[in-house]
Amino acid sequence: MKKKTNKNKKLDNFAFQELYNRRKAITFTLTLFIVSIYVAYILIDAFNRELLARKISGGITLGIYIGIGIIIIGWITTGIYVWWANNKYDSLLDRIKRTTGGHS
Amino acid sequence: MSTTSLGQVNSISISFFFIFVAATLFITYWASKKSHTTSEFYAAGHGISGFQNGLALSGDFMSAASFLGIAGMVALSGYDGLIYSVGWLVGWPVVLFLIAEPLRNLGKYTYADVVAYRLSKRPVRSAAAVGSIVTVLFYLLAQMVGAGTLIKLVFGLPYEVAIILVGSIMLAYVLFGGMLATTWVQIIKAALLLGGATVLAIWTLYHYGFHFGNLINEAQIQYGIDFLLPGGLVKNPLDTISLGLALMFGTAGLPHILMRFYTVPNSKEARKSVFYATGFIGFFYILTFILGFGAAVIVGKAAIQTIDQGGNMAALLLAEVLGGQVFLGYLAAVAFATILAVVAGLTLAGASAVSHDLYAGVFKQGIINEKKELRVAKISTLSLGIVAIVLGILFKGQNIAFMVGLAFAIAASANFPALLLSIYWKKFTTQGAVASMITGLGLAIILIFLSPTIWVDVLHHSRALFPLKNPGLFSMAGSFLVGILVSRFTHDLQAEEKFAEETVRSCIGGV
Repeated sequence: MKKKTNKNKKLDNFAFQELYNRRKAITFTLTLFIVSIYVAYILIDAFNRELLARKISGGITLGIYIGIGIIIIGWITTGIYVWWANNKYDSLLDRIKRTTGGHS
Repeated sequence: MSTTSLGQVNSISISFFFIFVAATLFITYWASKKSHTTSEFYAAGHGISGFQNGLALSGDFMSAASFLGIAGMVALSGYDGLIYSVGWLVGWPVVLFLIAEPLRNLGKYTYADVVAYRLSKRPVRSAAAVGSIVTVLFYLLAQMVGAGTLIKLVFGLPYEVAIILVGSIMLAYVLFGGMLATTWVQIIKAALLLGGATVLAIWTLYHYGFHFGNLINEAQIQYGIDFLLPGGLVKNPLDTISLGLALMFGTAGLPHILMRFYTVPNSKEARKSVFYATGFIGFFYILTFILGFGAAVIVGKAAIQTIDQGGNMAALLLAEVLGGQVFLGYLAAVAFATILAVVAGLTLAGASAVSHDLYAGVFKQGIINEKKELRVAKISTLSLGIVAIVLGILFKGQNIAFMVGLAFAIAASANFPALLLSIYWKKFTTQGAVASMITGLGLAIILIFLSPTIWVDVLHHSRALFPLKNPGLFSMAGSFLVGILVSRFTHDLQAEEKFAEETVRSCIGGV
């Protein structure tokens, strides 16, 4: 009997595993994206101060735009992920759950 | 600016504060009727919405230190304050991407639930509980000492009285109202703080024709171009990156933040709550940047430093100059409320590590009587509250600025690596988890002791034995390395077998 449920599981798990891997690829990529932006920002702060001093518009320097920009990018990235996960990902997951009869 | 009413007994701020305390105690009374089970006490019965939890998370994160400290830092060193803020913020996307969902789906009340999911419960829970408690204690101590100093400065109350007052009101929230009261205190405080800071920022910009650039030009005229550029903070980029990583991954390992994800009903709401929290916190940091510049230009660096060397009073002084006694009174009361709310959240997280992880998980090995566990949770809360009051008084006048940084470094090194590996790495073993947590905790504490922050600034040696101010980079790397190496040399068959099940559960919940 154990073998049978295992076989069932394997079939269901294939779709699940694929979806799980896709989510993991997305979340790990996004994490890497945020971490690299941050590290790049610190490196620019440390090694290219002059660049940040450049005035862009009406007194506001590039450095201020970049700093505030990263804060906003961080927020938008969470928004994009939450939108994808709460709509696309969750409904795909629900479909897999339904085909396996509520438990996988 | 020559006169300020800061430091005198201010009847307006005391009135505002009384209104806040009365309102929150009323909420606590309401919450106490819904706080009879462990699920209600630890997790507000999982009945908080994503938006509410987002506000509460931002409330947990916007401590008095970040409100007053970052505004002060911008006021005194200009651009450097923004670099700090960016580091504090970018941890939130990481929490969302790596931790929030599996945490919500795999655990019940604490992050130790997740680390121990497929590993041997007793050793893992013990180590994770120690990590939680140490993180909470350092954070709590920093908040208490900050609270005493701040309240003395703002209200003119004696330091000890302020500490006992904060400790007692906070205990009332947590003991009687549990997580539900704590969450609502956090929500109210976050709304008051965001509202107050927004009004102050708009008021500041109003004086510059709503052109942020004009304010910046004025700052440049007064303090030179260096005020608009990275300065002391990035003299040593490795140090800044180390600090940044500690802030980033520490956020994903702070017990009182992680515990909040259990207050929402499911992973959908958990995700939403991070989105809202990141938005509120980011908005708040942009506001504090404006306030810092406003304070530097309108109040002046010299005037700020005569009140407090560290610049912590910058935002309050700005409020007084622009809005007079009433606005100062309001913001001072909000700063007080902020401390109360953060301390309450921390105490609840620390108490749950004692009662849920140590008592129920380790001592009773999971065979629990809910009534008993709840009683132990309340006794732990009370004990932790008393410890916080006593430590707060003992550390009066000590240089404790490093303690929040240390709490973050410990969270990033002791808690975060084990949590991450337990969720995503099949071959992670019990021995690996325990070794990783102990290494992270030990390294973070030893390295910060040998670093300039304690070795030079507190112990007054001439040269630090470890060059970086924040050990985050090395203690976290050490913790990951030891966790991975030990797991490679040990076998945990049960853990490997349960990995597939854990993965499924981490997605669909139902634990």
